[in-house]
Formats: sequence, structure tokens, C-alpha cells
Amino acid sequence: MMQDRPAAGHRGAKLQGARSASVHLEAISKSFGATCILSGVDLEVAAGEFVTLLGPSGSGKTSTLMVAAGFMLPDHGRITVGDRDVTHVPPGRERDMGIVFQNYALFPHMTVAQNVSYPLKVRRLPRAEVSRRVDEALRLVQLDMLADRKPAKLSGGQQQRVALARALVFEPSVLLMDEPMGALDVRLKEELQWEIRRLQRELGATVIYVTHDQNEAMLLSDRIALMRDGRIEQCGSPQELYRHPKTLFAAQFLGDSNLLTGTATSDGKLEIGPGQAIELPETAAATAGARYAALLRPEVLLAEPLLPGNDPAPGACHLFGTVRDMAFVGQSIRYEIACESPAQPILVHQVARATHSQMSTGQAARVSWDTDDIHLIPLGDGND
Amino acid sequence: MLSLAVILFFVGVTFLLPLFNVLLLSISDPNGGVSLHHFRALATSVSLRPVLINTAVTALQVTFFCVLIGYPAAMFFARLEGWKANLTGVAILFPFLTSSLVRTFVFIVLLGRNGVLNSVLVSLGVPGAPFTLLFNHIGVVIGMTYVLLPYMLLALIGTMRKIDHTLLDAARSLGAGPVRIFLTIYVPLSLPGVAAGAIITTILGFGYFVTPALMGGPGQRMIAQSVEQRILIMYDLPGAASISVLMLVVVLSTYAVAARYLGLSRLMRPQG
Repeated sequence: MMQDRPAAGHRGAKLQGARSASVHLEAISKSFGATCILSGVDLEVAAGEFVTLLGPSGSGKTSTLMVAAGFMLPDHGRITVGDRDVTHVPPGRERDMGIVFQNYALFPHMTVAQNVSYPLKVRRLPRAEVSRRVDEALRLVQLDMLADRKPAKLSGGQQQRVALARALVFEPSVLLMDEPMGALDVRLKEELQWEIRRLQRELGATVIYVTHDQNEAMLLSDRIALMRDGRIEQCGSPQELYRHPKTLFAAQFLGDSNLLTGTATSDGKLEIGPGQAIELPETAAATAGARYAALLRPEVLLAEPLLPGNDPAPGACHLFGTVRDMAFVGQSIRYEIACESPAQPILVHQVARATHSQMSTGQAARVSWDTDDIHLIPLGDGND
Repeated sequence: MLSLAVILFFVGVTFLLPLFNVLLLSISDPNGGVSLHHFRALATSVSLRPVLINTAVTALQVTFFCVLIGYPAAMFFARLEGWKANLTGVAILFPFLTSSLVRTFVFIVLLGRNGVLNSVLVSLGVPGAPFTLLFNHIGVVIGMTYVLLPYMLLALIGTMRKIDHTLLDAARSLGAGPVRIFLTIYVPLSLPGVAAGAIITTILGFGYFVTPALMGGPGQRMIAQSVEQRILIMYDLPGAASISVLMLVVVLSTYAVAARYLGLSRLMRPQG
């Protein structure tokens, strides 16, 4: 309902992202007593870039955001915005960051317009300027019709957009968002995700965003910083993280995964079971004798019924097994196929085309793939 | 249904019936008929008017001082957590365990010409000390503020505890300084508590008897004392009843006005 409206730029919005600045977190550590919650977080966000801190709960993503916002002082490390060191600058005008809180933190005794005008009145802008910019900001998030409502009379999605307008209206150099979709239902979430993406691209705002939802992170971000145990496990574009995870944790956190572990052989194969080796891509450059996990995403696999006469011998780029379970989920059919090795059943997400014969539980099946779809993750240096 | 009947029965017998009796008494006639004779007498009474005014002024002054002292104290208490919060809760409720008579006598000891406070002030060489703090208006206001302050504190702390502190963080991140945050966010959100506390202290203060009787002078008579005087000294039960009805009307209309303009629902649900 929002996407088909004309883009904000054509609605005469004049909020500029020109003031957006780069943010640099350097070696941020923070402990509470004996508990270390951040241990050396390094993150560089370019001006106008959208970076998401993604991770399970307790991984330190919200703490990192609170340190960036200035609500939490790091024990060690430095925070710079543009070329200003803001490590010890308290939240407020000088720190100049717009924050969208998890529960939105709208002032319940003020109307939508009063909420949005708050940061401008604090800055003692002339009244005409205040009302002009409030109008613009509300038009930008399509809430101009609700300017005189109290927050309690708004839906969750509308409240979130008021919070966004309030954080953007004073044109901060950075926008920080802490799980802003947490309280919304799925359909609304997706709609607002597209909306935020559009707004951010249009305004060229620098955004640091926190979520535990991997799909949200991939949809919104230029880069994702995957967090684990108070540090950044891997940072890269959604594609990079999904296709080339550096660790088992990264591979398993983003999307579904099949991990075939084994030892690399001297002839460029990976021995995943007794007498069973799969071929590796030429680019893999595996060290013979070292342990690796071969990552195969469920959607790159092809599962087909094993017809009589087909050679059931284990091959270089296929496995044989029996269908243990299957489910139709709309965009794909999901199979769980039990093989001799690996011990874990292989997950296959197959696009449900009319021409495909659907397999049923108990049926013998062949799972095959293109060798180039394999991504190798080295094991044994403590990263699993 | 049975429990409801029991409740209605007890409320009826112990509360509504006597109240109805007082109403009847106030419109009774010396000859056994019905008349507004007693209310006419009240309206023309020269002695009652200053008492009524003094009562209202005292109740409002006491409310004012309860807010003045209670607000910062409640702000501090509302921020405490764990055992500290429990301890302050007990400390606030503790005075209720002693009779207000005893508490008033404590103040007589403290505030007398040779009392603790004046002794300290004299020994510090404060000019004008010792002050007359008893058996005058000041004494009544001090005593009643002390007695009614816990009600104000409880109302304020309850509301302040519910204030979401991320709102204060949000205001900070938007660039507001501490004074502005206090005035534009904290105070407005605590107002329902102030209103609730003010209504309680005003209404209780309006009908207060013990403290003005013990700590006030002849010029500080309050309306409850007039009721007492009519019953015990003049033995004018219908007269006492009519003053009681007048008090009831004043209190109920105060409450009605407060409920209308402050929003009754807001008093019940502070964050509403």
C-alpha cells in the first residue's frame, strides 16, 4: 500500500541527508563486573551506508548500539563520527545521533506533531521553520493526516514511523535503530522494511540497525556485521555473508545450511565418509589432510527420485538416500533426505515447478549439485 | 451473587444507613416535621463562615506543602530498587501504624517554645528564635502536612515508578537538557499522580479534626471541630448533621470537579 505511492522525492520532501557522516567504532570493550559483554568490536560505517548488527540475543548487538549512541560508556575503544571523536560526548545535541528505540519511546502526552517537533524546539528553531520541517517529515513517512493524534491512538506501524520521523527531522549525522520491527506482525514488517530501505536510500542517511532477524538484515543492509559473544564474527555484504561465511556459526546463523565435514584429499576432493568423497571446486584451494566443512545451501541442491537402473554408487557431486520427510511451503518443497553420511539429514529446498514429480516419504532419492556451489569452511582452529 | 449481597448488606448497614440517618436528621424539624431550617441557620451563621474559609485555606495550604515536599522526595524514592524500595515503602507506611493523636503529640514536643526545634535554633543563635510554632496557623499546617504527606508520597511514587525511562533517554538523544526533560517529559507524566495525591490530601485535610484541635489556637478552628462542638457542647444534633451534610457536599463537588477536569480515568490509570 505504500510502495505504489510516488517516491518521497516527488512529494516535495526537502529533508537532506547531506549531513550524514561516517561512523567508526574502534576496539570497543565493555564489561560489567566479571561479565564481558563487548570484547573488541571494530566497525567502520561509511557515510550513507546502512549497516546491520545481526546476532542471537546476548551477542552484544544492542550493547554496541548503546555504546554508539552514548548511553553506555565503553571501557576501552574510540568512537568517531566523521572526524570528530565522540567517545565521551553524552547523547544529545553535540553527539547528534537520531535514535529509534525498540519500544519507539514516543512521548505519550504529546501529539504526533509535538513529538516530531520536539528536537526542533529544543534547538530553538523559528516557529515557521519548525512547522515546515515537521510537515515535511510527516509527509515523508505518510503520517501528515495523523499529526494531531496521540501515540496511543496509532497502530504499531504508525508509531514506528512517528519514531522514525522524530529521529530524522533534525537531520542527525547518524541514525541508530534498535530492533524497530520487534513488536510488529509479519506482513506489516515487510512493508515497513521496504519503506525504511527506500527512505534511507533517498536521504542517503548513515544507519546502524540492530536486529536478530536475518531476512530483515539481508533486505535492508549494505553490509551486515554478524555478532557473537561480544565481538563481530564476520562483516560483509548480505551476499558475501550468505555465500562465503568464514565460520560454521556464520554459515548456520544465516539461512539453512548443509555442512558436509571431512578431510581434504590430495586429488582435490573432500572425504566425507568411509570411501565417500565429494569433488571440490577448483578455486577452493584446500590443503590436503586438513579438515573442512563443505557448505551447500538447500536451494542449490536438486533432489530426484532414484529410478531403477540408475547407479546407486556414491558419486563426486551427488549423494543417495531416502526421503525422511517432506513439506510443501508454497515457494518451495522442502525435503529432508537421510544419507549414510553425513549423519545429519540433507535439507533440500526445491522450487515447486509443475513438471517436477513430487517425492514422498520413504522413497529412494538422489541429491545432486553443481560443484561450484560448494563453499569450503576450514575447521579445527577453534572457530566451530 | 451471594458475596455481592453480603457486601451490599454490610455497606448498607454500616455506611449508607447511618449516612441516610444524618441526612434525615439535618432536615428534621424541632416539631418532628421536615424543614430546611438548619441549613438556613448555617447560611446566616456569622460564626461558621470564617471557620469554613479557614478550613478550605488550611486544606489547600497543606496540599500545597505536601506537593512541595512530596514531589522531590517521591522522585528520589521512585528511583530506588530492591530492598531500598521496600524499606522506603515500609518507612512511608509506618506512621499509619501509630495513631494520629500520638503523632500530633510528637509534634507538640518538637515544636513547643522549649521544644527540640526551638532549642536547636536558639543554640545556633538564629535571630528571632524561639519561634511560636504551636497553637497557631503555622502549627496546624506543619502538623497536618506531616500527617497527610504519606498519602501524597504513595500517589506520587506509584505514578513516577510507571514513567518509562527510555522516554527520558529519547528526549536526551533528541537534544534536550536535564531541565527541559524534567519540565516537558517528567512533570507532565507525573501530573496524574500529583492530581490524585492532591485530591486525597485536600479531602482528608478538609475534614481533619485531631491536629487542628490539639495544635491550633482558637483562631484556627476547622469545620470538624464545629461539628464536635455542636454535638458535645451545644447538644445540637440536627445542627451537627447539617454541617456534616455541608462538608459532604463540598468534598463530593470538589471530587466531581477534579474528576471532570483532570479526567477520572486518568486518576485510575496514571499512564492512560
